[in-house]
Amino acid sequence: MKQRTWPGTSDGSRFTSLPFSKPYDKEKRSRFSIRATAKSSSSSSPLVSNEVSDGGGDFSMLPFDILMKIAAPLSLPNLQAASSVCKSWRDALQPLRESMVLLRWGKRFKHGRGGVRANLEKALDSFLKAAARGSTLAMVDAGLVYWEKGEKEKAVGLYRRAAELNDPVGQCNLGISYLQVQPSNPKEAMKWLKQSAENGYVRAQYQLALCLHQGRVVQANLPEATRWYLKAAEGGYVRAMYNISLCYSVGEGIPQNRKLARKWMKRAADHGHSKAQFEHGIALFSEGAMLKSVLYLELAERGGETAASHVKEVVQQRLSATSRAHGLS
Amino acid sequence: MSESKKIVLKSSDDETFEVDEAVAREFQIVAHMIEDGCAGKPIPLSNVTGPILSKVIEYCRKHVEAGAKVEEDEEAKKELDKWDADFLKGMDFDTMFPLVLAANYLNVKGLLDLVCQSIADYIQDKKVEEVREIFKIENDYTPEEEEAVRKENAWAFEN
Repeated sequence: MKQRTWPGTSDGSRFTSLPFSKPYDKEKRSRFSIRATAKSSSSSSPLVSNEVSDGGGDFSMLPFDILMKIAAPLSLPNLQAASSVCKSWRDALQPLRESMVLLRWGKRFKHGRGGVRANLEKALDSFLKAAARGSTLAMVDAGLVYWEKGEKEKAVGLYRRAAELNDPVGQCNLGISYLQVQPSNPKEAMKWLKQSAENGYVRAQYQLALCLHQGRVVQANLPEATRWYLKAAEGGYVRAMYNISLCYSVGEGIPQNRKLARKWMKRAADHGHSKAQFEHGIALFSEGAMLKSVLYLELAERGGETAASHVKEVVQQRLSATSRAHGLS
Repeated sequence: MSESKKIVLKSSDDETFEVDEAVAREFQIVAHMIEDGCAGKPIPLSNVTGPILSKVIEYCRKHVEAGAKVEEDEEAKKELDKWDADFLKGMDFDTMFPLVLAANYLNVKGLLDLVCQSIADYIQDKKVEEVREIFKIENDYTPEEEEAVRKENAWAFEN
């Protein structure tokens, strides 16, 4: 079935549900992280005295490498504002602004947008140039291209660079790649997935929960798994909504709670999870809410849940019988 | 347990600080000096004043104490994160500025990351004028230059 995210012993590939995060995912990132190495401030900027005083300081005179590091977690509008504060900040953040332009061209070449033909080599070239200027977003993009081309070592290297600059998507992809390369490295994988999850990246929270739930990569820890499912679900990750619903339903790793199970199942269904739509449709049918049931079963059928069509027919027959009875009375 | 080796650090204003070697090694610049056998006499840190050096030492000491426990124990990690937050809470910019320079010069990665993140938080979701006000930065743009920057940003940031 299309969206079987619940761990099951009969699953084929171990990590079919661990696709890499793309910067074009629903969990869009508007972060640009940059590479900054800690070095003596004397070499950083001609504007800066090497003396580290404690009598206050002029923040416009921060060394360029420190300013670049500070700018790492800023979103695009914030970087725009920072670049406009003063000339020194504008000059310091120039590589980051350049990387954005290169990144945009890279995306155009990758997807054949903005009046250019799709060209993966040109896209990769743009991503690498942007990565060299410090954009972790570009590092992840370049890593994805290398991974698709089968050059996994290069991909892992780029993910690692982004991850070490505290980029949550880089950390997540690095974690996943440690599970998929041969030989796998579960300890490193869990370390990076956990770091990404703690940085609030919902996809990593879900993948971490999945690993802790399945108990294949690390020892199963159901309470911890449900904690991360719940975090990811609250962050809007649809598969996590479905899984936390099942956890509440059967009381796995969390006290059984039918009401919360229904709440999360409905939420997953409303967010387009076809299996959740199917199960929510059946639940509505058992409660006698026939019309709503048909609606959810129809959505599930369109989403590829083949079993939904048979159940929908049964509900519709019951519905028409009820309507007839209504008409006769 | 044997008494750990002590290292003496000397600030730019001639204040001396005796610290455990493990704490001193948190300063990458000092770690290299120790490895080169230069730790027999006080190590001069000519770019850092006493009050700031004491702050850096306080941070490093806490992180050395927390040590490996943080890797394994979730509670210990939360505790250390809280300590880090309290360490910066209420710190004025007159301290934060030399502290970030000191962390950079001494190459204390954790502290550098922490202070940079804190400064970034002050910039987050603020207007240009607000950022200038927070950090007491004078606007050195002419109106023409400001307009040019605005145009460049508009072009570079469009989707």
